[in-house]
Amino acid sequence: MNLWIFNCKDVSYKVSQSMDRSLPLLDRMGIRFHIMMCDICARYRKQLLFLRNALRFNENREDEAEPVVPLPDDARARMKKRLAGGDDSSAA
Amino acid sequence: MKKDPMAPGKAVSDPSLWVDRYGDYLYGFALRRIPDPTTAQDLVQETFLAALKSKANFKGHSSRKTWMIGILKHKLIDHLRKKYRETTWEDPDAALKNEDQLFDANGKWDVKPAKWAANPQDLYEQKAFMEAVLLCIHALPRRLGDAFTLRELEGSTTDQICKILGISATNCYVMLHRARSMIRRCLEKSWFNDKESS
Repeated sequence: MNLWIFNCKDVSYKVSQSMDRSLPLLDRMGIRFHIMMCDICARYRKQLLFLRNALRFNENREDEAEPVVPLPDDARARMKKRLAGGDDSSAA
Repeated sequence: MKKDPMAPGKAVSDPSLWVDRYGDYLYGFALRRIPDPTTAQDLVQETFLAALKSKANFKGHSSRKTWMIGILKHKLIDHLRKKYRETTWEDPDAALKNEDQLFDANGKWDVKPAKWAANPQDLYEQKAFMEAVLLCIHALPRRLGDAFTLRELEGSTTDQICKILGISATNCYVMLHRARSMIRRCLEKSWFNDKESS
């Protein structure tokens, strides 16, 4: 596979890989050339990056997040009991 | 509504108050990563018990909440490591066959990614959108979902993911690629199409 013949399928995989490791220069150039000419792959890349950024943004402000699903009462009671039981190391 | 026995932000050193103070938060954190309530509850309970045991180690350099999240993250990774040590290897390609159908014989898009109309920055802020994202992650085959969660929510490196899931580096790249592709399509169906037609 040389850089002039990356097709969309190659590029979609390489774009994803570029988010997990640094790609060789030829790969990066191949992606760039392809994306300059291919709106669909450019869009695909943008959407993947958006997904990553959205998740990071929200994980970083998790502190303020209100619980979507509260801890159920029975689990709550069970945990309180275990905690009150002291230094119990037999947690399953 | 659960009653909050303490003013928000106040550190709680009395373990008997931890469950009410941190339980919902830890549970929510676990549930975003493990879509199984029973397992998520077990992890939270283990976190509390481990916190109790190492109570003396809490030095107050970070908030108690952050300290507990740190413990929960360890429990989560331990859980995944055990889970994948015990399960036999499933062929990652089996669940992924339809992936190839996105492209024609020449590797060109057959099922083209659609344009997403909404303004991305606004979407970040929307709880409903982020819930839709999580639903799509949780709908993935489990090993794919766990790989993606470790990478994008936990920020693990692919090296770490390989070790936890017991896979090769190449498999890891392929799995993350499949996961992203599937989540993207899932969102397109569940969120973007919906919004456009409404």
